[in-house]
Amino acid sequence: MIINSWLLFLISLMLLSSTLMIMQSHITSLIKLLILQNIILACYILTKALHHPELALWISFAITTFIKVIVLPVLLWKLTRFLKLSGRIEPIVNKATLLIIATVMILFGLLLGHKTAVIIPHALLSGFSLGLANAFVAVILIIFRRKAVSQVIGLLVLENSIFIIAATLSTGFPWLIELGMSFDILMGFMIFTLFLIRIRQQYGSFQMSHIEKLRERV
Amino acid sequence: MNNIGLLLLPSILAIIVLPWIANRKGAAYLSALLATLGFVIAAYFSYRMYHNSQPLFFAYHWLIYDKLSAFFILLNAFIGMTTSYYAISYLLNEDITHLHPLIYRFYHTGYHLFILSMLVVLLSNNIGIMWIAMELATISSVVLVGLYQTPQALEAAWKYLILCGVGIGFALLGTVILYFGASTQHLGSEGLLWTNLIKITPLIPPKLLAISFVFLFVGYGTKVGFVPLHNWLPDAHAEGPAPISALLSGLLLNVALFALLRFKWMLSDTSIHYLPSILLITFGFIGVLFAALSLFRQRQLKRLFAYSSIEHLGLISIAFGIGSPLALFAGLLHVLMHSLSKTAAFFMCGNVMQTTHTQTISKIRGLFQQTPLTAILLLISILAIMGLPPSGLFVSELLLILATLKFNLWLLIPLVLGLVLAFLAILLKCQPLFFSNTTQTPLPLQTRSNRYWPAALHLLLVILAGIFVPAFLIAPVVHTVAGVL
Repeated sequence: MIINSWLLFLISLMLLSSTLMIMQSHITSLIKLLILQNIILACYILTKALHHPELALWISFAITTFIKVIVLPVLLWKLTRFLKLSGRIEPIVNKATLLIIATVMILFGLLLGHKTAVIIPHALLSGFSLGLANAFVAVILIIFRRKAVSQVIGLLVLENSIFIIAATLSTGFPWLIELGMSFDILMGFMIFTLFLIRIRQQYGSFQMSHIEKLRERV
Repeated sequence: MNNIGLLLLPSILAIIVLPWIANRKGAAYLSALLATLGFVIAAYFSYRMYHNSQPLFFAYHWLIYDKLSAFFILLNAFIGMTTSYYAISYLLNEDITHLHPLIYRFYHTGYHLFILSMLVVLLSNNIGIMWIAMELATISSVVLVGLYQTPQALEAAWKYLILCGVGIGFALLGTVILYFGASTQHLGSEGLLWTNLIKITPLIPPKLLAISFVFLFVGYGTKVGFVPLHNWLPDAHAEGPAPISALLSGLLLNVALFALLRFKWMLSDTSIHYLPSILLITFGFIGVLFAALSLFRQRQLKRLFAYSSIEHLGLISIAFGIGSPLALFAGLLHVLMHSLSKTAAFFMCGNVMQTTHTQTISKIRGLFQQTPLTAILLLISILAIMGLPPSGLFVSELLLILATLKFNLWLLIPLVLGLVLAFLAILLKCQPLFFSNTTQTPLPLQTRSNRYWPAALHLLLVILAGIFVPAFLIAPVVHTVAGVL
């Protein structure tokens, strides 16, 4: 029982951090929150592994810790230093509206989760719904930001939500698959970084308006 | 134990060897040679598969090789081969300053990584592996789309990466939910295997399956280019190098649709078997009509063909959605013909761009006067894409109309409307390219070898298929799939 409450607490913390991310105006705080979220994810899997001691979960914990808690934060931090990312991000709409949209999306996630109440065991339902809500918040983070970096972070939050849903619903994927997924995400991140550096060299900033030229013209 | 793992060998070899070869020409020829080896192996295995009734498994049942995958793999390997030959001349004719030698090496590695990842999607029996391979295909093709590193190319690659990243994220969510559904049947990690899932889906709650399929549809549908998730597609096609645009349009979109077809097949015995059909037909029609109207607004040659791909993929998904043997036959024939003719069109676009240094339609005039051979091949490919006889696309579109007629008479109206509009739009846009007079002189080229024959071969096959329909390739697949869909 306590374990379940603790897991629910962790997953709520994750949603809270995503919501906080929506409200941030500095890229560095966005990155700090993402690192925090990765640590929460690792804690979640660790708790599960301690509760159901299975090899698959321990391997999953090891992969998550290595890639999401060690490699990604180091890379992100180096990237911020290299690109001197300290600027503010201007969202497309103001923060209050953004928060309302986020709330609506969270409600939508919760409702969608509760639609499955008959199918998913009661103990998992809240975790599943919160995970879904987190995924939707990540989509908002991607859509309503004007900087390329925050879009990447939004994608990473989306991946986090899916990992946490996977960990909630089952004991995670077989480890080889999980390794493949993490590797893909890491590779995707590297490519993102390369592109970010090129975009910076081309335009001198990450403002999305620079890279919104390919539009349909009537 | 069987040796279908050999199918992956040429690409793996290419990925390991090609980055070390500094000689540009040598690397391009070796890449083509390995792609040819890949095609020979694929042809051999496809021949065996077509005479074999049982699917083959590999690597703990994680990979499957059945008639459906044999058909797609044969097509992929063939186009992979011809594209790599075309790329030899294309890359040599590019400006030296345009392509840094290091980028050149990236091209070949990225190219074979892209081919390999698509091959793994087609072979995968494990839906987790399928997702991983699809993500890998996205990542490798993003690098190729952004190869020129011009502002436009960077923007196109960025849009592609973000949109498909979100899409593929949703596909993963769908996979997770499906895996959870399978875990209710106590299968453990075996629950990711498609062959097991197809047996147990009738036991999984339909609501769960429906949610999972919707997520999978959104995810893989982004890669197919279903409207409104198509935004990345025209940009990525227009800004990448011509061989890559050809691969994206001719292969990647098919592969994503193949994944959806597998999931549709999986749900065929459940109480929600109608859901994939409804989604495929609805989004197919939206795609056809939207693309047909958008074609009128296009000003650039490759964007025009990209929108035409959205239209054709819409037609194919309508066929797969209807799911009758006739519709499936039409759909698979359309996959084959569209891939061959569209890649030929993109090859010729590359030629046109290299001789005129523009892809703006209004600036390209008098192609027959400037480059007669390119003009003839481009004209034939455009006529084929418009679905004129004797091209194979005429046959497949006719069969699709017949299948739709049998399925629902009313659906014929939007279908014919879409086809006619697309026909008119392409005719209107492309007609001035060829016959007007021009004072422009074509820019000099480094090499002319391998510049025409890949497209000519594709078009020859398309015309031959219009006269002698390749039923021997398609009927066995339809036989396997139609029994269950």
